[in-house]
Amino acid sequence: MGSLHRRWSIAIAALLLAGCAHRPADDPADPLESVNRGMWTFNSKADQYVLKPVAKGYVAVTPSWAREGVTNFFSNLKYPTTIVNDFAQAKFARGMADTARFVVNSIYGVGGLVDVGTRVGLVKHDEDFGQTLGYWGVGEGWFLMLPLLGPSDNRDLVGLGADIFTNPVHYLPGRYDLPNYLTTYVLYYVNVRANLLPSDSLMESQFDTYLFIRTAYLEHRQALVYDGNPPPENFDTGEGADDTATPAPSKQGSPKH
Amino acid sequence: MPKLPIRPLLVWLVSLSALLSALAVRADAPPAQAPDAALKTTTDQIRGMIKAHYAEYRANQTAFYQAVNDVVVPRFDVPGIARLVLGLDYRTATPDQRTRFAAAFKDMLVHSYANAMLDNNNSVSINWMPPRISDNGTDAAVNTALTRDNGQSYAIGFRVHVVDGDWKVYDITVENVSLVLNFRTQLNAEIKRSSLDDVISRMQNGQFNPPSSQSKQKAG
Repeated sequence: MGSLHRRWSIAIAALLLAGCAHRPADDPADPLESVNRGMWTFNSKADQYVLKPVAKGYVAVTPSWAREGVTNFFSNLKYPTTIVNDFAQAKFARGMADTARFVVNSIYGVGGLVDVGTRVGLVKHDEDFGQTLGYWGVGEGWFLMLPLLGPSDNRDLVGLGADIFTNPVHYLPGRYDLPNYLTTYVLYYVNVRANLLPSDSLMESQFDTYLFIRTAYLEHRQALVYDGNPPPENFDTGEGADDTATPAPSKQGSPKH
Repeated sequence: MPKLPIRPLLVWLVSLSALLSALAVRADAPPAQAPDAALKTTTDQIRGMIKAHYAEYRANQTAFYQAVNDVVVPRFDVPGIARLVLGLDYRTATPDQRTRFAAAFKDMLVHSYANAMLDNNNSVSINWMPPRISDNGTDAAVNTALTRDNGQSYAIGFRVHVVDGDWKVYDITVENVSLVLNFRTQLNAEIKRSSLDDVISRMQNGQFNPPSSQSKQKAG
């Protein structure tokens, strides 16, 4: 990558992150809401007419063990990103354990197809550069709905860009050949979508699917920044100081996954 | 033979029992049961019933909803959930609207989640984590890991507090996504767009998406 290119990327990242502060998931910064809603409608249509039928077909023609292998493979492929971001968040012991997990799964798990690591007690973790920024105090900024990629925010968009550098696929020879590129990404997204098929009925019992996705995405990301143990949201709206107000559970256990 | 100090002893006993009963009627007194044990009792009860009456519940949805209403719903703080979900709109709602909303919201949840319970009863196992209890002992978070037989695991959490001397659920989190927070966001927007009465009647009729803009979005 040329240095001019790099300088532009850094400038855009700085712009996106400027003034990011954490806001509660039920009242986030969403100044692009009308654009985002349009994008959400587009994504829903693309899902309805292309992605969902393909995912259903994929589930119909593949046995579940094969899909599990594909899920494991991509989850292992993401692991260099997890390891780099463990260390970037000063979680050294976890970084070492995750390195061991990556090695075990890549070698004994046949390139990641079998999740041997979990069976020997190496717990799977989820880290990326968006979480690293959050860990060091960067707020999520604006909520964004990306075309085809789905929900994001300023912080996670910068994270998405940075994670390219830790994705092993981008260092393989022939990676930009169209057939290779398509096979990798199409299989990845179809498999992700197939895993989400059981949740589809959830969308039908929502008043506003856009708001549902927005709240769920922001809460989910906030929880990941805190490794599954986020500080409880304060539900209190000032309506009476009785026992419905929610004091934070104070005996914080260690994060469990 | 020394005389027993009957009178002072009697006074002491009476005052002690008075003190004890005063403590007992305090609304916030922590229940004898631990929060995770209370939840586990309810969960085991409904799962046992599904196991015993599976075919019957499959055939007769009304009977199954009735079972859920009898066993699961008492474990939930329905008025509390209604208050939290409505948020600021709760203040302006009339007592009648609050009651109707609570009932409609409860029915909506029963209808949305009861079938998922029926579908997955035999394929999931629940792993209970130690609860995190607040200092005053009246609020707790109980986390569980729900594992399906294909190995996929989901983090399900319960927020409970003490109502009438027992632990009652006031929020459920799925992968840390809070039910209360999610419906609050959506309902606040819907009520702003139409009215609380309109939202209540739509909940009763199962029409979640506004007829104008989003009815076409439902994927087949």
